[in-house]
Amino acid sequence: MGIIFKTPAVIIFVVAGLWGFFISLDIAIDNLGFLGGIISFFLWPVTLAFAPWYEALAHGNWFPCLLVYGSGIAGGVLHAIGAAIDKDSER
Amino acid sequence: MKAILSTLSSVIILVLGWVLMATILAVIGIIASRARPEVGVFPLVNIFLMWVLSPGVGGFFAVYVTALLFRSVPISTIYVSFVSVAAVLVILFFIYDFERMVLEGSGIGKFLIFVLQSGAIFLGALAGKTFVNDVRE
Repeated sequence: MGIIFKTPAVIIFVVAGLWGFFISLDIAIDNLGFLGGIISFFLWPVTLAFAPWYEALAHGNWFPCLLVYGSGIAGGVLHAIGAAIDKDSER
Repeated sequence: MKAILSTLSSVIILVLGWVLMATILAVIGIIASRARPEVGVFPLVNIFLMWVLSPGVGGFFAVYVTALLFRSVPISTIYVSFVSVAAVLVILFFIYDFERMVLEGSGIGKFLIFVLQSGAIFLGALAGKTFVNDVRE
């Protein structure tokens, strides 16, 4: 039964994660140029973690942060609920 | 009686699952388009997912959740009854959309989306049946 929560969680992770990554990459290219963009692409976890915060603190645009971290938290909570239900039904 | 109830609940769960996924994807789309309005292809992909993935997830939930709610009803009964109801609805909407496309010239795009949505519902239902077989065994 936990799959009811896990399926939306996975879709949130994939869609918001990919979209958030490309937005973060766009932020990195705007500020670091093409070469910086290439480096950011290969260092994608760092880009995904820090570029939204840079955009939020430097330009006051909190939406990239909301997209990346909000979807991470929402997906994580849904996945945790699904895992708890699965664990409970195994007993 | 339980078989009829399971069929009704599967159709309701289809709608709920569809609306749930479409809402989640719409919220992601709204937040992301405010984050960077000029990032090009992702809004289109998101709209495509809203149109096609949401009914697929709805079809998956319809069979999967109904089978877990009505454990005494055989999975084949739930699957066949859900697919039958969905097929009747698909045929009705197919005639309506096809007529609109031919007579009113509404364009092939909407008709194509409808065909994809129908396929997604049936594929989702099939996936739900497969997963339930794994869980029930």
